[in-house]
Amino acid sequence: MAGLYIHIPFCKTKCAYCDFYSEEKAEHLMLPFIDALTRESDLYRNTFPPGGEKLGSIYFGGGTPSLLPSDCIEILLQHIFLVYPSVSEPEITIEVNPGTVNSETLAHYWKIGINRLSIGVQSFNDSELSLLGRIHTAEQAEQTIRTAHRTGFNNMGIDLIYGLPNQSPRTWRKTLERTVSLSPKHISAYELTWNQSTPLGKQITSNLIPTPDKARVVNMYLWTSAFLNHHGYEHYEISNFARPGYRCLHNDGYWTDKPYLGLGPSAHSSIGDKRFWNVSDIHDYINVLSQNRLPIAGEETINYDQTLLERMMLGLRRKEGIPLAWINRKTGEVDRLIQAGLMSRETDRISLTTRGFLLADEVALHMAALPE
Amino acid sequence: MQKQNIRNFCIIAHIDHGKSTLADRLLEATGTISPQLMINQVLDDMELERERGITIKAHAITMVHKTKEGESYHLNLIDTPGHVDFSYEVSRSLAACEGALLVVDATQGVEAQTLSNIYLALENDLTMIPIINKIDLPSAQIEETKTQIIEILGINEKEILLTSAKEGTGVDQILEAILQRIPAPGGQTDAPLKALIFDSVFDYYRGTIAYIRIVDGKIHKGDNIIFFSNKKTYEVDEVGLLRLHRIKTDCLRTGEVGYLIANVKNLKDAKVGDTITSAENPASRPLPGFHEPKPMVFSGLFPAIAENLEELRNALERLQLNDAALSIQPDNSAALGFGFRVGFLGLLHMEIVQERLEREYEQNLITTIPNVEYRVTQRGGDSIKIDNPTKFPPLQNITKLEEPYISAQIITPNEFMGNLMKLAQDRRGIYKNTSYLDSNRANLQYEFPLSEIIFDFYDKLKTLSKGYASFDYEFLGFRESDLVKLDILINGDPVDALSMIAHRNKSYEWGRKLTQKLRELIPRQLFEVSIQAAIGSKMIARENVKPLRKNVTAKCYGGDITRKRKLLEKQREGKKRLKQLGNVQIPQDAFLAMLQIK
Ligand SMILES: Nc1nc2c(ncn2[C@@H]2O[C@H](COP(=O)(O)OP(=O)(O)O)[C@@H](O)[C@H]2O)c(=O)[nH]1
Ligand code: SF4
Repeated sequence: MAGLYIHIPFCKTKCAYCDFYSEEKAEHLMLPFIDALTRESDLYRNTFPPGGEKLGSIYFGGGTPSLLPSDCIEILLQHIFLVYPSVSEPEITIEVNPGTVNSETLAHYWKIGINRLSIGVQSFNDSELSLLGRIHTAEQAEQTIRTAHRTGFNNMGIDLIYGLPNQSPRTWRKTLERTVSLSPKHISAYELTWNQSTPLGKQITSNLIPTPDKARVVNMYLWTSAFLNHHGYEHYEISNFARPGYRCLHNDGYWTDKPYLGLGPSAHSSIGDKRFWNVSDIHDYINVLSQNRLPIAGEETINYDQTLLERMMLGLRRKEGIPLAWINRKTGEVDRLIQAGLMSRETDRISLTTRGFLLADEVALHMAALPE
Repeated sequence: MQKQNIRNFCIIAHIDHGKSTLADRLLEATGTISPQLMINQVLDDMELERERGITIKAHAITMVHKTKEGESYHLNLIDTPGHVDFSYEVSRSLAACEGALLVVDATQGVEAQTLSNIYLALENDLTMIPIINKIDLPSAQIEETKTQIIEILGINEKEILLTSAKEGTGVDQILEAILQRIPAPGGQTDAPLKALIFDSVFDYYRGTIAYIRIVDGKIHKGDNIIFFSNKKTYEVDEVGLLRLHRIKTDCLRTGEVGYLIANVKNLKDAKVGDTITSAENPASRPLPGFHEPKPMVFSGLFPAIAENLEELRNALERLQLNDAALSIQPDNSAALGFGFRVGFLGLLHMEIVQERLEREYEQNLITTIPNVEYRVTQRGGDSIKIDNPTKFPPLQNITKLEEPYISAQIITPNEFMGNLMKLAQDRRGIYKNTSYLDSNRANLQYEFPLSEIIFDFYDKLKTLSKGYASFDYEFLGFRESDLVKLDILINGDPVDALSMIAHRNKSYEWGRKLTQKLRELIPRQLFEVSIQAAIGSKMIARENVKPLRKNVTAKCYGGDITRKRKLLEKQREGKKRLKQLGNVQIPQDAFLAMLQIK
């Protein structure tokens, strides 16, 4: 099964911590953009999905896809089903930001086949929301979730961020408790990563607000995992939790080496040993496609070594871990990791423990750097 | 050139007092080199030396000087290395001269190196011409400097010349003094040949080129010659004078300075200080003062990547072609694999060699803590020299341990005496004597274990005296000492390349500082790392590097994946450069941790 990612690079206003590519106040570009997207999808008509596979998931990410008029989404979806063969009921997710949708929009989404929402709540604390520069309030977030439930969206994910400057374990606990009380099927809890170039990053580097305390962040992470487990969510990836049967199929594809095609500016694709990515500027993107050329900015063919490193780094992110065979000659290291409580082993697979997840990159690096 | 019209001399000066600048002026004034052609300071020609402001290799140049009366002289200027590491080489250069220009910077006054050079010059019976330089500077203290010189040399004020080498003032008087005051060379024209090798260099096309001073007799192309130290004979291929380039001549005569090429393949066969004589009519004994180059500081050099061993061997051998003082022995370490134990004249020599290996030969090196050579007497009475801590016999087998001592002079303004005496005490210095150069400058005499000054002594001295103190030393001999071997254990396993020899009284402090420094240098990794210092089986210090708690990307979808993989690839390359010791990864510079301890 293959995945299709569609990047929608529009945002109402830029959040303080965000370093994704997106445009503010660019409604006038929406129609040319939809046109470009359809042209781009056409250009992959006979090559995607590769090797006779079928499309199993579609993901509208951003940016803020919910800023696009839902009619546009409908047109897009229709077009996609026209050009790519797909399984009978693919997972179709759209990222939704509270305050950008109402019950009609959601109903429209539902009608056109979207069956999963990913709601960018981030926090249920208004002062944290304003620190992050989000446009919504906690109350709006809750209303959006309730409306979505009423509309029929059973499969819903809520995105949260922890490890904010000055965040106390207590406010984080409250956010989590309120989230759980709304019983979403899926929760993503991301540690805040701030880039120096963002407004928030600048405030931190110039000491206007404190750097999040490292030890505290580690504790929040551990507590989050325990808390959500207790409430029936499986910690299935470093930052992702789901009720049984409700993992995000599309995202799981990234970590299990499934082919995916990314449409839209700055989107990345992975097909076999090819990696390629699009130009990030929306104007360039529209321009190139108006000439019916692919807007590819760069590509790479990865070798065996790189493939192994990539799979290891991604596989170790998941609860199921990786086959022991990938690191066949390094079992001494595995034993040490198990002893240190960072790894566990089940016959022919190894996986990181909750504490081990925190060191996923280091373990991948360690295994990859060890001499054979 | 006949003897009476030859003057052989050198310039001695503390570093930066203007030796090279003055040499330039003399070359210009004698028309040896035109000012337009003047590449500054022609005598130091290695890039590295220039950067460090020192001359490693002594060279020589013959200037032809015509007096107003129309008489022609050969002025042979023999350059001397300017650092204590090379004091033997300096003394051999001085032995080739009859006179020395003693240059003292008027803004600095007499300094330690000035003094030690004066002593060397006096030992070689040189006529000294004291010159005060940089008189153009407003901060010049001409009178004070004069007083100091008069005090030391016991001369008349009239004999002191003043110059600004930079502006060229006083240069004519200097030339005049060279002719008038420095004696023409002695020696017997018809005696059997005796030529002193005061320097030698290696040329890839010609083999070894020896720079020589003819003391007695003469030498022709085609002569058969013999080197005293190794009794090897050669046929002379070429002799000549050293102008800006080599100028071939038929013959070098008594008193002359020039070069000799005789198909000597190995630089080590034409040793500095050795005497050349004629094979057919040999002199009965060599010139005095020769000794084999003696390394004083030793360190292990290992390729960072084991596969580069041969490359490192080649690079070292090539360096050795041009540096007879470098001693190289194969070495191996449990921690670092195969490498070399290299002996240097001193710490500066070591730094220069390491830098050349890295820069010119592009070697990626792991260097171990430098140490001196120890004399160890074992049960049963045999005494051996050991230059590698890992080769130390067990303490219980040792009946006597000796380490090299030096005698040092420290010249300092009075106000820093307290600071420096405290430093000397910290470094196990034995106070000998204080004398005063003038009312404000003292000359402190001390004896030190060499091991105490090879690291950061010089830097400390400079810091504690705001840069005003200077320092010079000479080797005294071996003395008994209460030494111990300090081992470093990582996760319980001793790491041979981190062992060091320390004085018992200081071993605890070293143990503590070393483990602390290593804790800083070893990056946190997946598992805890313990670092211990031990003497024999006794643990004296311990530090832990806590395990890493977190290294993970929160979000890893689509584009994040390629970015992250590329980052990991880069980091993996970095990790491969770390040394794997058992389960622990150690950065290369950890092996020099000791040098970084403040
Ligand atoms: N003002 C002034 N500077 C000088 C004079 N002689 C040398 N210098 C400067 O002092 C520094 C050291 O001179 P140099 O000849 O390289 O010293 P060396 O280390 O003894 O060879 C250089 O920057 C020279 O330009 C002088 O007579 N007057
Ligand atoms: S809504 Fe999302 S993409 Fe847009 S600025 Fe905020 S964080 Fe960035």
